[in-house]
Amino acid sequence: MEVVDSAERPEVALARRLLEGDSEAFTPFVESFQSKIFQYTWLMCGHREDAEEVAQDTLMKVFESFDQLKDPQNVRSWVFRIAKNYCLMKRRKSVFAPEREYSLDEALPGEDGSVLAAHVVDTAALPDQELLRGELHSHLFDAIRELPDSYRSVLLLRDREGLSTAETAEILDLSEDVVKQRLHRARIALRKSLSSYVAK
Amino acid sequence: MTQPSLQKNPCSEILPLLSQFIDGELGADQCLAIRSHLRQCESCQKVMDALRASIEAAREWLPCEDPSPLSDETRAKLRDALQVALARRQNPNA
Repeated sequence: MEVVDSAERPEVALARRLLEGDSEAFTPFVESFQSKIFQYTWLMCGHREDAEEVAQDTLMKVFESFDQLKDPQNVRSWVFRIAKNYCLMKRRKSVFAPEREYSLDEALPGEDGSVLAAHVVDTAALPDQELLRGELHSHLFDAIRELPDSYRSVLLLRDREGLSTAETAEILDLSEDVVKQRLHRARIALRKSLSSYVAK
Repeated sequence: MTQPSLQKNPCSEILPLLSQFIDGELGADQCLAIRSHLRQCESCQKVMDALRASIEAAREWLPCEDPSPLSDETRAKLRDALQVALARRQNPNA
């Protein structure tokens, strides 16, 4: 008999119910994933219209190939892998895609403590009341968008969606070591960008 | 008990590991060495604080946009696609 984990994530339970033929799980599944996929595609594509289109294409592909979901436990990484592929396809067709994606290795100072620390503002300069400013949202959006795609996707999947290193590596076809390195550099680059906003 | 020691340039060893330290992905010995170093290195502590602030920004402060509601027609197409996939799962040879 299959043991069902009573603490499993809601999306996992919904996927399991759909695979068992429970049609009442359809609407909550769509609502849960439509929002998650859209947040990811919006921050990857940068344009609302593109993100809507990519999110809908992703949902259609998810349902068309639902029989290929072998284990409901993997539903989040399975869905985000499909979303990542559609984002890549959209990007290849985009006239705005850069010819070459730069690496944060080129943009960030080395791993020397004093040099690196000089590039990030003291956290005391970014108090909560500062964060509460509405304009920070738009600056944060721009800061995320400025990250190279390969770093942005790691940051969004790990820090935004809370996926594990192993899940993120599987979605993006990377080794876990590369995921860890890119996440570290993306976090530093994001903070550096926010530091320059506060310093203005 | 002796603490695990760091090599000649502890900052250059520690900095690339700080994200993994925050994420709880390091072993007990490495965590001990990093905690000990952070207590005495203001620069590394500053980078550590910056990393935590970045994580908080991505988790809590990124703007949230709601997608447009799906049309009835799109929902019907998704339901149909699911039914076809589930039927194929039931009977892969059909």
